[in-house]
Amino acid sequence: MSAADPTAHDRLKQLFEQGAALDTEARTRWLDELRSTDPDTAAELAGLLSHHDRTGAVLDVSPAALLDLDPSVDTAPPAAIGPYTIIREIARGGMGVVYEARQDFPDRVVALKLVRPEAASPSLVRRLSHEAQLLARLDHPNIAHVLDAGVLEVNGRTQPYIAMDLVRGAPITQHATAASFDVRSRAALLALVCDGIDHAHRRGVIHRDLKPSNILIDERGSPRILDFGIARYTDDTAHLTVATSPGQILGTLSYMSPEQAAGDTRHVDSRTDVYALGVILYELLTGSPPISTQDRSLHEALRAIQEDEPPRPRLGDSVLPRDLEVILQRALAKQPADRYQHASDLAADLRRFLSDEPISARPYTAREQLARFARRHRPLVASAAAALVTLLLALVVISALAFRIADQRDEAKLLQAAEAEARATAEAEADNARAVTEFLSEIIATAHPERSRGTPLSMVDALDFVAGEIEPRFADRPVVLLELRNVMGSAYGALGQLERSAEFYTAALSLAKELHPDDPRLWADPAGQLAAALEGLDRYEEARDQIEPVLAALTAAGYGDTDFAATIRMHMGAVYQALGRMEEAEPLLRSAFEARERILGPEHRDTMVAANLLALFLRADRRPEEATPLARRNYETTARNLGEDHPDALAAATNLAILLSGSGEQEEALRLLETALPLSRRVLGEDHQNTVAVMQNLGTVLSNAGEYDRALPLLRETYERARADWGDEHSLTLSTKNNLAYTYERAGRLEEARVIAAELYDTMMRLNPDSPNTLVVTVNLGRVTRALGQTRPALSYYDTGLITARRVLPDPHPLTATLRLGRGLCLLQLGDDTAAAEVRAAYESLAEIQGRDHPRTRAVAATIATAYDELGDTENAAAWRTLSQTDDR
Amino acid sequence: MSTTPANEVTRLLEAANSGDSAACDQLFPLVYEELRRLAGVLLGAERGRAALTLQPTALVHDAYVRLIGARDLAWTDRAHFFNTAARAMRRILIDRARHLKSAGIPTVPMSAHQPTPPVAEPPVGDDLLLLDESLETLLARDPRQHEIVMLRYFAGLTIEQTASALGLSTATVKNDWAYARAWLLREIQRRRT
Repeated sequence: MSAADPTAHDRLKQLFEQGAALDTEARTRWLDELRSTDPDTAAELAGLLSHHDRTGAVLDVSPAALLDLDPSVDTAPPAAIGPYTIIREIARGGMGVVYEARQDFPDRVVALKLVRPEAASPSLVRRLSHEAQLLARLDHPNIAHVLDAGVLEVNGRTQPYIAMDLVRGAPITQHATAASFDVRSRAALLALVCDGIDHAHRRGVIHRDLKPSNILIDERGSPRILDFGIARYTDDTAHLTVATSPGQILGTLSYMSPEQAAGDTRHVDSRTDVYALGVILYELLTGSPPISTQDRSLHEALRAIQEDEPPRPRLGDSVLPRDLEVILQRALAKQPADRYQHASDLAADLRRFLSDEPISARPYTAREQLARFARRHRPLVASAAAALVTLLLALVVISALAFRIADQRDEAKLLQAAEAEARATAEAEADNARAVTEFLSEIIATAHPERSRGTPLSMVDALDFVAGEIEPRFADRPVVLLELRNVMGSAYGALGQLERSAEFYTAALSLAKELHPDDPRLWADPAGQLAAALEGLDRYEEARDQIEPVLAALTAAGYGDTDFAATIRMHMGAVYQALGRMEEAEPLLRSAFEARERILGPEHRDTMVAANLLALFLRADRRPEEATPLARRNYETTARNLGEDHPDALAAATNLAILLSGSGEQEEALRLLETALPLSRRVLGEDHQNTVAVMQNLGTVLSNAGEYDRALPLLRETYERARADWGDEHSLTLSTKNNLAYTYERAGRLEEARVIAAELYDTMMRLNPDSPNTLVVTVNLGRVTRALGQTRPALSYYDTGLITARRVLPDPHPLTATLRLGRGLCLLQLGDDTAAAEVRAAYESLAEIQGRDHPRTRAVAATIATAYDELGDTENAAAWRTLSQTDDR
Repeated sequence: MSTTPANEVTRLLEAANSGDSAACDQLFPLVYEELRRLAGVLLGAERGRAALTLQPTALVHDAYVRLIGARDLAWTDRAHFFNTAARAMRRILIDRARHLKSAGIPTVPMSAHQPTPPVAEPPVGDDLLLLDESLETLLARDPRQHEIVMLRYFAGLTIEQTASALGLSTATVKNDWAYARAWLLREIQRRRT
């Protein structure tokens, strides 16, 4: 019959409807009857109707289910899988099927999990073997031990499997409810879970999918964490299955971290697990997760996870102990940087709470509160309506001040013994709080769409508006004004408005001096922040002028040996280093490091920050022999305290490797980096900034070792990755590009080097023509252009660079001298009369800065000698060669 | 979708229904991108976490809420939206099926275990690809049935919602669906053998 014939088609449809309505017996008779008159149609109909009767066919399951084994379709368990005899099915879900199974050798009963296969690729096999080794390394009483993992053929399909300890028990939340645990028992239980998670983190395994159903309480009452790292085995295509009920999808969203909800997988790390632990703790304590994802659209749920602050945790009608509230606040911070950095920190605070010791987490300060707000809203504020933004801002400022005032009250209690005075202070604070509240209600009224005429306000606009109101309004309340100026400085800083940030911190600093003339400790905070903002603006001299008096005052008042002074010294050291004044930078950085070592302890993280700055300084000052031991200690301490695969340790390993490589110890440098790269890829992810940095450094070390063939592909990958992830203008992209050009140059591939360097130069000149980095790029481009014999273009690069250098750099400065050297060498090649004087001046300047017998100074003399050689000027060549060889002292 | 997607989508729907084929062309990528993004988040596309379950009905509903919001649409506009969403969902799923098929299956077992003998079975995703081809044939034969299958199967609409979106009676939709379903199942079976 013809399918395209409309009348035949309609007739068939009519007949189908008739036939479909009949029961089997009646239909058979009816078809027989039809067959006698129209056998073709009858046959066609019989076929269609047999399909009509089928159930569970293609169109009856979700289209997504057709892409994979559907758990609802695949019923009978196989008798055996590999060496495992299947006893029964335990569970089934998006992740796969779990069987209780008996292993022949060794004879034991295990949980055998068949993970849904991803689009099976050869890389899966490699990844699995790697992951299996990692998982097998986990050995902790609170972790279900992975016994074996790999891939097996199941029904002709290759399936990843994991065999692990069989845990019989209820999910943690159910268990706590069933056993009527009190708050303290629940906190103690979660601390045990943290121990297990921390054990895994220290071995480089992140769970990524923590939820109550993955934490079972075994027969002995111990929590056992299941399914470690399994999220990595699987990928998108693996989980297209039918939801059994609509709520099921969104229910599991509750444990998703903000960075996961944003799809921002670059930033999924151990702190993602800390967030999930926070959610589970919140649920354990209050009975429901902090962000409800039920009854919300997917969008709404993802947005809420990223933006909404959880409701204040309540225990029935009462509130939780304040310490637990603060612990939850820290664990559930939207920004990973604001969270507990390690599961062990969370565990430690829970145990401090249990033993009634003071916890380490503090409630957010006003500044953190606003910075968090600004960070979170940066992308969206540009288009948000005035009312919304200003209202949010107002709410943040309210809570910020509330926190601050509470803090001040505590301080007042501690510091001021005289009761009357304390009462007076409390009254003044209450008065201040009232004034702030009034101010806020007015802002909210102003933000009413009718009054702002519905014009959209950006975050910066909103801040500008608030800024304009603050000054006149609080002129007679200097304490509030000081706090608000600090808050505004921080908010502008968080939005990248460094100019405005610096303005507010400048004003805050002068007000702090006015209000507390005798206590320079209270100047240190705005001064340090101001220095940071000015450093970001390359306004180093100004930074120095602002913070030098603060340090002097701290010293004069007897606070020279505090962490306040150490912080200021650190900033000053960095500023002097940027100004090229190395002799002044060094004692500052050194004493900052030593003070922290003494005050905070040699293993404190802030001490390590100072040690790292000092090591970087020593490296920049070309004193690797001093920098290396420091960097080595830094690395060893960090690796010991936090584990070899902790991000801090990876960064320290990288720094050490760079130094070792610079001083010719390529072998050890290579070993460090070759170890760090796979760890970093795994712990931080392929795209993480630090992974890219390790890759880049490995490339650089290979390049230092002269292995250009191995170096160039790594450096090219680094550059492409940086470019794809951060765009053409990100500082990391630019520095990788510089490195790539330099390596091409060293490999003798000059034209490729020049093309890349020239592109980079154009970008830098457009973005920030006055930055010292642009001058470095100028030097590199000039050198490679000159080496290609393009003397005049090279000269014009140097000339342009010198004009800028003389304007923005202090004199003398190594960069200025290097630019002059390049200019002089060009002039030599062009036969210019002034050339000899120019190269001499450049040399003298460098000799003055770093000493005549400094290897770099000698290398410059050698370069000049070679240039004279090329001109056939043997006399000058010989004179310069002497300078390059002898010790002048 | 930088500016108020709801307004833009509504405008395009209206334009498309008044015969503007350029509007049709612009609408599809908007809806497709939205669904693909949602599917990506749900599926943990970059292995950031375990994937969640993908349910076209929920996705299409979500896309509707986001792209149209609470405004009242003419039934023709609504039908057009769901039709576009169904086409987008079909493309997303078919792309995945093709990807799965092309990725192949590794044959080297990881451990020393003896693999159980393979059992012949259609490769993953094949049914979906066969359905895709069969739907093309159905479109030529009976466009209305094709539209009903698209809305029911790929946009996850119920019989009632499909009827309301297409301005048909529920009885008609029910009958057409039953017939189209049987026809497609037979077609898939024919193509498979």
